[in-house]
Amino acid sequence: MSEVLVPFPVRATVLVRSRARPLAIVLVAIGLYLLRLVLGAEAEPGDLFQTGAGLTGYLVPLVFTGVCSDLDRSAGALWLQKPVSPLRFFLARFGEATAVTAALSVLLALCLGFAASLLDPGYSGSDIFAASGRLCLLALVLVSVGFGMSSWLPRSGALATTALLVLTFAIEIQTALGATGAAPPSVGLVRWFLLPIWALRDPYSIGESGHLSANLVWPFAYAAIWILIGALGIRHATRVPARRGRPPRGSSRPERATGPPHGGARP
Amino acid sequence: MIPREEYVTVRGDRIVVSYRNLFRRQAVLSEVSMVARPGEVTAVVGPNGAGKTTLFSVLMGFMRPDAGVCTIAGMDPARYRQDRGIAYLPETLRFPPGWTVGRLLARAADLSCPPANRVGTFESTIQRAGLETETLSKLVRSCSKGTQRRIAFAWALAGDPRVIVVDEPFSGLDPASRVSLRRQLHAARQRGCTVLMASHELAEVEQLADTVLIMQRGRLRSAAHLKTDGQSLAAALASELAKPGKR
Repeated sequence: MSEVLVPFPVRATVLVRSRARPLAIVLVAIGLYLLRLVLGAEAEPGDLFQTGAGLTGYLVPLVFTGVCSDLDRSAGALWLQKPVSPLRFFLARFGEATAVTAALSVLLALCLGFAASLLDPGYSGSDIFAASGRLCLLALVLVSVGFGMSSWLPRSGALATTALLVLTFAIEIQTALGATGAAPPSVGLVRWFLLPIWALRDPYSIGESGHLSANLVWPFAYAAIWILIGALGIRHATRVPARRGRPPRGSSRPERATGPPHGGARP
Repeated sequence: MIPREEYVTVRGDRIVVSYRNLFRRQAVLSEVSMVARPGEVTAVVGPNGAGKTTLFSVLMGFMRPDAGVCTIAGMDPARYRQDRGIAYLPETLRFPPGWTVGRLLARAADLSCPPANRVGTFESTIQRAGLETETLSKLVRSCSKGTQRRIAFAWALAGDPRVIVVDEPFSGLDPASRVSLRRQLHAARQRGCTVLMASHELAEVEQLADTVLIMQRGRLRSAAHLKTDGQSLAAALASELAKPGKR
């Protein structure tokens, strides 16, 4: 019998409930932005859908990026006092966060597509299914980055992920505006750490190589690197066997005790 | 693998720990050596900032000592914890958001036991904690402080770990809950568990502890075996702390 008392769907529900407030803030913000677009200009339903799906794809995963946020807090001690491998435990949480994020993003995209078709009965929902795969890929990449960041920076991992996303967009916009001259080497180096927006924007297009897989490989490889960084972070934080440190400055390293330590008489 | 029934001894040998930042280094534990034996409650008492919680963190493998050796059943504490589990009730509780009491304790059974024992463990955990049925559907974070401590202790004891570490267990508990917790700690001692406790409540310590370690400023000042020494803990503590320190 392999009975799990709290199966994956229940844990996913708990995860959504635990992030209910930031999720609500993100959804209200997206809704208000779309409403402003609808009221302010002549917006095509297709454009509204694309904008809404894009915002959903980038913002919803940010809510779930703090995968290892309790690695160095008392909540972490609550989990890690049990006979579990920390790496397996946090990888399972990463899987839950990715699945929940992907499912929520796709669900919201479906809702947006349905709303767009209500605004314009002539709008065909073919974009929706194409966008679903892209949203799942975005969820994987962003939650992977959050996993890697929060394993090394448990208290500020989600903030660091957001900062990386903002930096990525800032450099993308600068590039799109046509900055002249060769970029300094430092910018080229930084680009390796940025999100592969170019691959995520249209991962299913067939590039110059003529292969569909060429565009898909980069986001998966990028996510895998961040998962590896996260695994190393967890390993570092919960290293076994514990490494012995250096003795404090000014004191010689104590030798092993030879006499009986304190602790009272033997029973 | 260690047999489940084996009695487990927790040892610390000349443990040195200091907290550092960029500008200064502060010694927190200075060559602390101690033994906690199975079937005994070993209490650590001392003023605030004496290093009791840090000592527990090191003994459980959550923190690495700068020098010295800690072992649980002869193993590295972190390895023992990941292999067998340690019941730990921290002083400050911070439950993860979104969990109801019932689901959290069910998760404790999931993480503590092989699949065949999970239902039994869950039921015994609920029973041991003495939680009412309607409490199980409440969010843990919305429970009172005393109930949260009972939940945390029930969580810790799920799966019957052999080593129990409790930090200020009686803080914020009403008299009935204190009696219940005392009974559970006593029962754990009877089962042969190794119990480590830090507390400022000297009356509770005197009732429960077999051995009392008195700490001050990161140093172990003395160890008293209350049952054989027959002295009052308050008197022993007062006389130890009145002695001039070695620093």
